[in-house]
This record gives sequence, structure tokens and C-alpha cells, in this order.
Amino acid sequence: MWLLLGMVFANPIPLYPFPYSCIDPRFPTIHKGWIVGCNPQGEISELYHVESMRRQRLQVESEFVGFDPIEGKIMHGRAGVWDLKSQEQQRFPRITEKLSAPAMGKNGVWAYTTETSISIIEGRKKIQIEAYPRGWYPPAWWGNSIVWVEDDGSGGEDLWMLTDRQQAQVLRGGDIAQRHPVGSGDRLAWIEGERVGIWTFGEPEAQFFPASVVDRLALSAERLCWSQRGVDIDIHCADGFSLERPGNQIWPAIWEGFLLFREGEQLMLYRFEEE
Amino acid sequence: MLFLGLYGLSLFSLLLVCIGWGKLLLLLVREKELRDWDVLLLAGVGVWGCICFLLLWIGLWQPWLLIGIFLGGLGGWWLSPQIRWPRLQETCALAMFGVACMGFLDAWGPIIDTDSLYYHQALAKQMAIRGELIGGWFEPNGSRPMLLHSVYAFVWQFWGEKGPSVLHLCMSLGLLVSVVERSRSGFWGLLLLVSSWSLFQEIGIISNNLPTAFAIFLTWRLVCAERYRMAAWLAFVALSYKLTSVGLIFAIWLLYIPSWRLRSQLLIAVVALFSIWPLRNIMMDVAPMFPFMGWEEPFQSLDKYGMGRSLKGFLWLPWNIFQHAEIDSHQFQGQLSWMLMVSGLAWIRLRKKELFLLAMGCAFWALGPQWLRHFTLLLPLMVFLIGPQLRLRWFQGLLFLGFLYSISNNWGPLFSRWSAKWEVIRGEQNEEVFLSENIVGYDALQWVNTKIPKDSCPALLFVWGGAVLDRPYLLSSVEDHIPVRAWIKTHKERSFSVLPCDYVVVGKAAMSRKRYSFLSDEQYQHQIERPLAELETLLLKKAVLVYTEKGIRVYRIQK
Repeated sequence: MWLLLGMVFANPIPLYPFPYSCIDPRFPTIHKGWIVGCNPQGEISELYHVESMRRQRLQVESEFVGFDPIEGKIMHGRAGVWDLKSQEQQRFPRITEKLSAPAMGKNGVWAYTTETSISIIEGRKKIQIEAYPRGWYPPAWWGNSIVWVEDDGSGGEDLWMLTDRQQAQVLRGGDIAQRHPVGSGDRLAWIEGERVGIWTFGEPEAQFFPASVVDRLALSAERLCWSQRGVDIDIHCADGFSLERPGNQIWPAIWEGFLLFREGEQLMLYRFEEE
Repeated sequence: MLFLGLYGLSLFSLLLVCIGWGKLLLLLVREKELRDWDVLLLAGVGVWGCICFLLLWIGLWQPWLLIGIFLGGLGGWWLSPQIRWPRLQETCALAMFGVACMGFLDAWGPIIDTDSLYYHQALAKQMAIRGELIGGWFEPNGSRPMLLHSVYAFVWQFWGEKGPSVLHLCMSLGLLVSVVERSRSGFWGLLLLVSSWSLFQEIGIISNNLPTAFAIFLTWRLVCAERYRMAAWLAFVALSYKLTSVGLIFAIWLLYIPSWRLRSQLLIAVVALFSIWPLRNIMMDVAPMFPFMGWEEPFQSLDKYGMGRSLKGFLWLPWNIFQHAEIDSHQFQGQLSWMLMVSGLAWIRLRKKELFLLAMGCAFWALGPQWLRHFTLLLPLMVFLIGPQLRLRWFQGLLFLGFLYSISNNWGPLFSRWSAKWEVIRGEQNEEVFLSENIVGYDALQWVNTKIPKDSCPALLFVWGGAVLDRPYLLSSVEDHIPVRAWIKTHKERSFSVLPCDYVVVGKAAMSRKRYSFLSDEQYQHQIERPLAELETLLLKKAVLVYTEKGIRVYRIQK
């Protein structure tokens, strides 16, 4: 019904299944069509599919979860992973350390950061490398490499990369802080001061375009979007799309043709017009 | 164990030095025949506070100077070695030891009490770290009278985080011993005092309520003993420790001073001493009684506390405070034992003047924010007045029934707290984990401690855990987050530009319409909703979110 209305009016519609705000501000978010939302205590507890309108209740409630967009799994840390297809909680792989940000998965391999390390876990096999990742920013997969935000020791942030040969190296550094890396396939995007960087794996250099971004980027195979500062905050995308409405539109997340964001306390959903 | 022994011994030496300063003060005010340990101790802590305050004010907070002044207190012992030490019956002394042990668990265990974190411990730590007074628009808590907290700062400097709490424990126990000894009420007097959660829970947790109660009690006893000069000093100490004492000090002044001439002299003396605090505020370009005054709105929303301020609400108050008080809500925010209610029977035998004193004390309390922790200021006076009747067997039976009836409400929450702290003290529970679970924003504040540049300054918005920070910070909270809201209302979109900090730590304001239902829609909009919304917009437009943990956000300001 809502989908029909959305298409008729081509306007964002409010989403009511998740009236509660989450402890972690990056949730609710959308992952493989499932909106991941919270209970009245602000813990992630339930999923809602935007197309089928089905619900899944998670067995484990937590402040944040990580995603494996390819295998369709949700990482809970110590409690293992939740399989979206089978709707079962699997004990392995699991992460026993205190995570400083959500883990990010790719084909069943999970990358995660703690206060003093960056690690990769696959089943029961684990590789750990000493690092000082900035808490809160999750690592990003870029091809088969992992990119994370490293504390530069003077209050700022740099981007570091762990190659598929397990070599850690600076990807982007300098005086300007690099934050919020997000990956999708071979593409990596991040915020660098008052601009956004985007880099396709294998290409010699990154491309930049100016943008005053609020807090985070949303990247999918087709789009890169963010909340842009202006007279108020609106959502802009790299392909020229902009969603300009009264009030502030923040925390965008995208999946295929759907854009999830917040407007005040209200969770909103928008469907991009098909090209 | 050896460390604990040496630590205790060194802290005990501070108490001796304070008594030494008390003796020197006696010489100065020509009351040298006074030999009571309690008067000397409290008067000495007052002198010590003045010295520390002045050193902080003029920027001479040097360890060698502090040690010199510390040793200076010994001069008092040299000049006048006589002192009358307390004597307690064996049963009472044993019970007092039990109370001290419980208080010690609070004092030595991890600090999680909100008032300790944002106010008492935080101020002591900030002044010790910076070596100077704090205060002004961005540090409103530091603009309060700092007599007690200057001493806490001294103790923090040399004895660390546990020091101020242990000193406070000593002062609290001093109050109990003093009241029990002077009232000759023995074990039953002690039980009556500690039967209520609101008093017992304060003993080991750093605060200013019990030291204030101690100062009021001794002021009254000195006035009754016609030791007016010393009484004036202790009245100044009481008012400087906590302004809420003004009601009882006024009642004592009105009822117990024999002539208007003497009243005027004492008033002038106390006002002259007290004027140091308004004077300092004027020099800092804030209102003389800042932070209690000087805001666009009242400092405290009195309607928020208790169970209503209508005539009916006031008439039912004596019943409601015993029957409907809650520890964790604004509904009196405490708990009183029914033993205290039963003890009211003994009021029948009091003289008119004594009844007036208690009635005025109760009335002043009821006019204030109706927190039961403020009611504790009155308890020592009550116990002293009914002390002789506590020896009656039949009365003891009734009191015990009252005690038993409400023991679970009053002591129950304390035992679970002590048990949790004992687990931490003996290492069964990790202290970091305990603090993380019990202090809102602990993890985010620890992140700020270690991750932001050394010369950076965080401002705390709606976050109460200032004592967790090991670096200077601004704002933090005070009543209804007035400072943060006033800052936003005054400076609007320039708010971040005028803030001398480059990071902000933002917690949850927890200011709902339901909680402030006594405000009109317009007032709620103007005072609360709009400033909070403006702050969120500012954060989106002019700051970068760099960290969050358990809902507490850390932003870097883009200036």
C-alpha cells in the first residue's frame, strides 16, 4: 500500500514500524531490503522488509550490528551471526573481543576493529594486526582489502588499508581528517574535510568533489548519497539527485532503489524513480 | 593493607591539623576555653577551606606551600594542647563502627553517585588539576561558595580520588558522634539518625549535606552555650557549605539570640564573612549569587519535586514524605524511616521555643525543592531535642517497631549498593566494567580522556560525569541543564563560536513535556524545546560527529 502511495506521489513516506530511536545513531538503517530497527530501549531487535513487509525478530538484542551484504548475515559479536535466509542464530563465526565499531562482512569473512587492533575472522580462523582504529567508524571492504579509520595520534583521523597480503599501510593521511569509509564492490568512498573522496580499486588515484557532509555517506552499486549542509540539511547524491524538503533530512541509507533517512524523529522512506 | 593503613594514617593527620587550625581560630576569636573536639574540628576545616580558597584564588596553589600550611596547623596543638575527646558507650561505639564500615564501602568504592560526579568530586578534581578556582558562565558550579570544595581540592591533590570521599566520611561520622554524645541518646539516637536512607546513604558518599548539618548543629549548640563568636564562624561555614542551611540558621538566629543588638552584631559578622562569595562573583562578571540567580528563568523549578505545591499538597506533606517518597524519582528523591515518624510523639514534651525551631526548619524545607536529602539538615536537631526521651523503654519499643516497618525501604537499597561496591573493592568485579555499567557516558568520557588532543577542551552538554575526565572541561550540568540552555538561547547560531572549547560531549537531556507539565506550552517551547532543537541543528551544521558510545555523542566543532 505504502509502496503504491510512494509511487503515486513520488514523495518520501513516513515509516511507522520503528517508532523508537536507537542508542547508536546510525540505526535504523537498511540492509538488503531489511530495515534494521530498535526496541523501546534503543537496542536493535527487529527487521522489517520494505517490499514484502515481513518482519523478523532477532534472537539477540544489541546496540549495534554488522552486516555481510553478500551472504545476508548480521553479526552480533559474541553471540555469533543471524542468517537472514534461514532466520537462525549461528554460533560461528563470533567475535569475543570488545568491538569499537560494527564488523563488516564479505562472503562470510568479517573485518572488525578493537581499540588496539584490526582483525579478520572467517569461521574459526582469525588474523589480527596491531593498529589504533578510531572507535565508532566501521571498517570497509574495498575489493579484497580492508580500509579503516586510524587514530593519527594528534586528534585527527587517517585512512589505512590492510591489503589481501595482510600488509597495513596508509591509504590517505595528512592534516585533513579522513572519516567514514564505505565500500561497495570495488568502490570506496569517504569524507575528507569539506569534500568526498571516491576511489575505484585498481585505479591510480582517487577522485574528489566538494561536499559539506553531515556525519556519513551511503554507498550502493548505483549511488553515493549524503546529507548536505546548506540553509538546512538536504540529501544529495553524486549523480545529481537531491531530495530537498523543509527541515533536516539526515542519516541516509540506500538499498537498490530505496533511500531510508530521518526527518526530525521520523523515519522516512523514498523510492528513487526508475531510470 | 599496608598502603591502606598509611593512607588512613596520613588522612588522620589532616584531621589533627584541622583541629590545630581550629585551636588557632579559638585564640583569634578569644574563645580559648572551648575544648570540644567537634567544634575545633569543624571550625578548623572552615579555616582550612578559607586558606585553600585564597590560595586557589590568588594562584598560589603550590604543593610546597600547601605542605607548609598543612604543618602550620600543628602550631595550634603547640599553643593550646587541651582538647575534650568524645566518649561513647560500648554498644554505641560498636554500632558506630558498623556504620563507619558501611560508609567506608561507599567512600573507598567506585564513585557513581550523580551529585558526586558532576559537582563535589568534579569540582575538587578540576581545581586540583588546574591549580586555580573555576567558575563563571561556562562553569556555573564553580561559582557556588567554595569553602568545602577548596578543602576537597586540597585532599584530592595529595590523597587522590578517594581522599575527598574519606574526608567526607570522617566529617559525617563526626556529626553522628557529636549528636549522639551531646544528646546523650546513645545507641537509640544513632539508630534514629541512620534509620533513614536519606541520611545513611550520604555518610560515605562525598557531598555537602552532612558537613552542613554538622555546622548547623554546632552553630545551634554554641548559640545555646552563648559562644556567639564561634557560632558566627560556624554559621558562616554552614551557609558556605550549602545555602539551603539559611532557613535553620535564620530560625536559630531569631529564636535563640537573646537581644536585637546581639542579633544585629552577629548578622553583620556572618554577612561580612559570607560576602567573599558574592564579591568573587561580581569580580567574575556574573550575578552576585550566581548560579542560584542570574538566569532568565528560575534556577530551580520547585514544582518538579515532591507531590504538588497546592494547599492540599502542603497539608498532606508530613504523611507523603513517609509513605510516598521514592529514592529514584523527583517524588522527594529519598526515603525516611517510620522510626522518625514515631519519634514525633516525643515532640509533645518539647518546649515552645524548641517546637518553633523544628516547625520553622520543616517549613523552610517544605518551601524549598522538597528533597529529603535537604531534610537531613534538620535531623541532628530533632535527635538532640528528643534525646532524653529515647531512654524510655516503652518508647524504644515503639521506635523499634517503626524501624522494622520501614527497614526494607530504607536499608534494603543500601545493602545491595554496598554489596556491589564490596565486589569491586575486593577485586571480584572489574572496576572499569562496573563504572561503565553505572555511569552514563563513562565510555565516551574515557574516550575523550585518551583520544582528543592534550590541549583540546571538551564541553559537556547534558552529561553529568565530569569527575571521570582527567582534563579541564566546561559546562557539564546543573539544575535542569540551565547553563546549556541559557548559552544556546543567548548566543543562538554563534553559540559554538563563543564556546572556548573545540569538542562537545552530548548526552540525553531527558526533558520531556510530561516531566515539565507545570510549564505552559509557550514556556516549554521557549525554555526547553527550542534551545534543544537549536543545539541539534548547530551540531548538524557546525560540528563533526567523531564518536558515540551508548548514546553519548562526541563532536568536533568546526570553527
